[in-house]
Amino acid sequence: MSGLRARWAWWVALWSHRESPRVLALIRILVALVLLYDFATVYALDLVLPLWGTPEIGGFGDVRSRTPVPELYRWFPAEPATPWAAFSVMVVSLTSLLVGFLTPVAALVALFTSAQLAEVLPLADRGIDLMLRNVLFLLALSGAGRVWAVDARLFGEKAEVPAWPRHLLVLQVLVMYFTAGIQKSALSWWPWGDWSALYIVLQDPSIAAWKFGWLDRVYPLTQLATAATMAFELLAGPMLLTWWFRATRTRPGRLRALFNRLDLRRWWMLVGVGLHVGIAATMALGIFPYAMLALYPAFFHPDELPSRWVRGRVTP
Amino acid sequence: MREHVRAALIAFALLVHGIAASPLPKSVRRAQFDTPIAKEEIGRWVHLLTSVGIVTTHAEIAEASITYGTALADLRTTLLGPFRPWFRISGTGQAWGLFTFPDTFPHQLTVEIERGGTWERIFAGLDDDATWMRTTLAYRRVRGVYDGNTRKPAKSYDNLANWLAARALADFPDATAARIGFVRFHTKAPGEPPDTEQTVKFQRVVPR
Repeated sequence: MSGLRARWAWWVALWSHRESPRVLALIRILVALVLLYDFATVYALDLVLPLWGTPEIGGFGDVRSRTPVPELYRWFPAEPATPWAAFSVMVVSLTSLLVGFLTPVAALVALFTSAQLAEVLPLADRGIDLMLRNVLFLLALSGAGRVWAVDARLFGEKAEVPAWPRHLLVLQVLVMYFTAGIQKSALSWWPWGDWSALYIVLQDPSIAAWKFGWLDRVYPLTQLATAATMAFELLAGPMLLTWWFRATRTRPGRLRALFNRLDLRRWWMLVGVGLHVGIAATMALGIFPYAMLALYPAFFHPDELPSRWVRGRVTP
Repeated sequence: MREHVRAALIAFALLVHGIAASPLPKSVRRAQFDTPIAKEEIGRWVHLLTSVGIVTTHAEIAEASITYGTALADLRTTLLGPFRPWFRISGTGQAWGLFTFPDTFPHQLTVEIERGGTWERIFAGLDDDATWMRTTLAYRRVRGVYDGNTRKPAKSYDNLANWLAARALADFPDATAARIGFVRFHTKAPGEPPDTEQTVKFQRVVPR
């Protein structure tokens, strides 16, 4: 019984840490910027009605036949004003999130509006949209608006906020990479499938950003990139250990000492940055690589930020 | 007390999201095993397993995948059932199958117009000679709509085709009709025997 109690006390303590809100604030700003860019693209390409309207008003989605019908079209009429209103709510809430005005409310409004847009046309909602909604939920529950934000001016800047939203963000990103890795069961991702996966992906005219007809001349490079992608994603699971070892660096243990001496976390992150830069350069996946990189600050404790970022007028 | 409630809620959320993130299939349908990609992939598995002394057939692998996959999908549905309304309304969840199966039979969207009795290609993915509306059609959300309709076209494909046709006929006043469809081809890795066959699929012709 006392063992259980001790474990529970450990679990409670694990999620009770506090830290500067600056990393979460930085993520708040970057995520809002990426999403605002995406919605600006929708506006510039005149896609509000095609993507989120009903067929009667020029939309692609068969909204009315869906079960259940999305609340957006249960509560509001199938008129152009409805998708335009949803789009406007999205832009206003993201702008509010960007400047940190009523941050939790802004994050939740953006979350639920984005979910409705996803319900209207699921095919237009990609994996990165799902990821960013998870992030918006965590931001809504965090102290991301307690610094570099209008909220900080209105309600007071905080020196410390709960650290658990950032910890869950790290876990979320690691889970995404790791499960993406273990689900890659196609043989082309493995040596016995000749590591041909990225070569195949880059021949897909819907995915590739450019014509890669010449890629067979550098086939070994694509094989290397495939192997590196798999290694990076599969290592995301064990990488959780590196955060644990850093947090408990004063404890004994050879493995802990080795991990901390080599700082494997930084090498792994560097490969991740390279992976996303590579995706941005070769694939037409829109905001995906930028949105993922916007989450990378979560990998750093606020104390690791440049000292001039951490200084400031704060109230504990 | 507050810390305890928070720790309990986090434990609960991690449990639910852990199940959602586990690699249990969402659904398994027999038709999934009849696609060219699935047939090719299973063929590779048959070859691989046979080469290490496990003699099996395409049908056996497909049947085992359906049996176990269905059981696992049912388990996932049961476990996550109570949380489905929350996942739907919040649009949150865990589904990270990124390029799980690279498409060895990719589809190229094509848009053509008819002028003077001949068809002219005005858009085709990555074709530098047919770049009409390229920025729009390469945009990730629009790509998702046509890429998601390459197996079995749904209503969204017809809506997209009609929208594209209307735009094309407006941009080319002398065109008498527009045609939207896919060209499917077969990607082979270097060293494999090439397959140059191309298949035209799901064409929609919209007259002016």
